[in-house]
Amino acid sequence: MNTPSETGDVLPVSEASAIKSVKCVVWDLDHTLWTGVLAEGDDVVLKPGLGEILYQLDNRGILNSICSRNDHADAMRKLAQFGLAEYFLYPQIDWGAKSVGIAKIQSRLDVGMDTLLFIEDQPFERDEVRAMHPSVECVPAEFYLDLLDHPRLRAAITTEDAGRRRLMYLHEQARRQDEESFVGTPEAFLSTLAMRFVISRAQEADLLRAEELTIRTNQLNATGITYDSDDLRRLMASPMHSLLICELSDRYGSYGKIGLALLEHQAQYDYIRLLLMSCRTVSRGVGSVLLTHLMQRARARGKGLRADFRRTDRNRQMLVTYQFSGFREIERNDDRRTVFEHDLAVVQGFPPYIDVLIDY
Amino acid sequence: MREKIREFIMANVNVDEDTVVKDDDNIFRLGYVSSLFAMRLLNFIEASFAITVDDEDIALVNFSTIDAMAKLVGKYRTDR
Repeated sequence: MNTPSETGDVLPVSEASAIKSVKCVVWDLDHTLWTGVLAEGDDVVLKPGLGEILYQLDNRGILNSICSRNDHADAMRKLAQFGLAEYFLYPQIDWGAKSVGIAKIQSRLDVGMDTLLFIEDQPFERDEVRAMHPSVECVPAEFYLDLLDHPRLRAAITTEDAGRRRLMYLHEQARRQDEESFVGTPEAFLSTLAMRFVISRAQEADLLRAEELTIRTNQLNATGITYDSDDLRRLMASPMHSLLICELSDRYGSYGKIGLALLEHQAQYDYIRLLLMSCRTVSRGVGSVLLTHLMQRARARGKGLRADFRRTDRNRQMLVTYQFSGFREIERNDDRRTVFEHDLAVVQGFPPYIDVLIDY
Repeated sequence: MREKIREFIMANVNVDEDTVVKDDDNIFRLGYVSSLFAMRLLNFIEASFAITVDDEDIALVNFSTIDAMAKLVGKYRTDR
């Protein structure tokens, strides 16, 4: 019943979703991931090439999940036998409607509905999901071999962090469970994490991740300006600039490289041209750590500190970070661009619950 | 209004249990206040009093004491 793409079929891509990258592929099991029906006692066999496809998607930083009508324990056991169980985040395996399973995956991963792709052999199930979630791209199972060439599944860049994205979600799952059962203020919980924040000069190997950060970060981005790795490489080599990158880790594991700052050194001022923190860190109370470092650094060198800021619809939190840190607007241009300055009279220390290491 | 704000601060800033935060105490000097707290405080004020604080008013000085926050909320309530 499977007629893969020998005819040169291309995946049907709806126009609305043609550009936005897919963050998670949701797989049906029977007749999609494997041939046969598990619950009917078939000796199911993995579709050819499936392991490689999952490996490649994972490597691109694209997550995988499952939405299948089956007995949860039986299906997970079978996936474990195939050596694939750990690839799937929040698998939804039960007898309920698939649209409900998809909604659960979307909410657990905390990604947009329009970043999910659902692959399933039965037209009825695809239609049911499409009816409830029109922005989910639904792909017939027979096209599974074409997934790696799908325009929305091509990773723009592959970075070390992309390859670790699934592990980070697993760590985050563990953290969230512990946080939910924790009694006390969020700050008190943070102090149990043994967080470590390392600030270092960006290296060649960091450039792709740095580019990725400028593209993917919206909420905690001071200017919304994106830089490609060539721009960043040039700035990295410039004696007038410092390109700093931060890594955060805690007792569960690393969050990866999560912060970036571009500093321009002028005679009287250090000028922050770019400041961003990955949204992964929003609940970790580390938003102002990098900024605090830049303030301490400028003060120690007897310089002033200024920063470019461009208000977007989504970066209110960055505005709060600057203004609550004591920055004041000294200049406002058109198109919502402003310049902030800090008098550095009072510079706060680092949060007590985090160990900051300046490694440059 | 002041009591509601006081309650939130007492629950979220690490102060001794028998310390009562006064209306003119600078909460940012009482103990360490994180960027996370700043955002939560803003969200709390906006949600509790059904206001949206303009960018210009998101400043430390408007949130440093209970008095300042009460004044800020009062301004938005009479303005609109």
